[in-house]
Amino acid sequence: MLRKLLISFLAILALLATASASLTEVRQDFLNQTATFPATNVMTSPSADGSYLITVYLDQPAGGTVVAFVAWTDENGAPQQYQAFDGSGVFAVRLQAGTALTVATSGTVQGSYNLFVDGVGFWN
Amino acid sequence: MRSLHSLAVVSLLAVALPAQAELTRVAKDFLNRTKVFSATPIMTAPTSDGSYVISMFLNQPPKSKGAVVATLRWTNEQGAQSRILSIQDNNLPQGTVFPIRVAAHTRVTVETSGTVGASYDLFVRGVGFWVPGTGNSSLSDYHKNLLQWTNATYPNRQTVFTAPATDKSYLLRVNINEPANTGTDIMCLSILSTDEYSRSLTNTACANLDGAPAMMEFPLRVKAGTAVQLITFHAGLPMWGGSPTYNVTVDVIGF
Repeated sequence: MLRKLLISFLAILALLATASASLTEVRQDFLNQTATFPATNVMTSPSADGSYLITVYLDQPAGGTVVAFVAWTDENGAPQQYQAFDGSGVFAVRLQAGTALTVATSGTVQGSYNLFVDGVGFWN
Repeated sequence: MRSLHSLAVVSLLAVALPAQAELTRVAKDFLNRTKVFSATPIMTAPTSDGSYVISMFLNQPPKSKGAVVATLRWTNEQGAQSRILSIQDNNLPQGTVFPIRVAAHTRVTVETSGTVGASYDLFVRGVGFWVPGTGNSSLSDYHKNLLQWTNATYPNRQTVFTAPATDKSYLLRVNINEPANTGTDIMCLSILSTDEYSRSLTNTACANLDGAPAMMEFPLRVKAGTAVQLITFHAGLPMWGGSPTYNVTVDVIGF
């Protein structure tokens, strides 16, 4: 029985190792926000320098002037920022190990707004 | 005992597999089209509001003189939205990448308009984030990093990946940076590829002296069996030789 379990366990591990485990998902939704908010973590900090493709998508009613700022520290230790002026964007990120990828908003809120930060993490 | 064994296996799979199933694939190809076409769904309507990153790649054979416009239409929480991509008669393929939000039970469609030359191809590809039932998760990925490099690779190329035995669509994410410095030596990177019509394509970005990363995100259609390669070089002459420390990362999603 134990041998059978062990074989199954190893087989599953082998299967997982060969699957596309090197793509991970980033997703953080900020729904029905009625005020701007300060820098907020989007995901858990990676344990090694990492590569990401990040998308930002901001929905707000006419009259709103909310802008989203994504900030991170690159592998050189330099602070970086992406500002989604027109509400949405796709951009590449190199994130230093142990540092945070954050998003903050500023501007005038009209009613409420939704902000979606999504992405793909790439791992060798 | 058998049921205990099965339970253990199922439990292990249940714990381990969700990490694989988060990202779904969107893929719709329109090959060798000789006419424009009306609004056509590119995927199953989601059952809940969903987020996607979508790429469109529009191409035509050499010497084809079409001027085709592709229009992607979707509905988000605010209403109807659209995005266009056009190809001119210069024969160069065009691509774009952008995020969309799709309201539950609404369609995402693509249509074409304009003048068709001999023919054209349109590839709509994307990734859905936690959107069950709108695609499958058969995504592949490739990576190529040059970390802490102090030389240009020029004139040598580094292979990022080699396409399989069929023409395929990819989405590339490229980053090049060098730490902020007071010098004048800027390092550049080109991604070299071959499209389905055997044309050589080059996408280039150069680092910034203030430390800001240079980034590119673009779709590619890669001819079967050909390699996608990168080469780094100095922005000024000579293009080869020692350089400031720089980093290059190239990540690829294969659809």
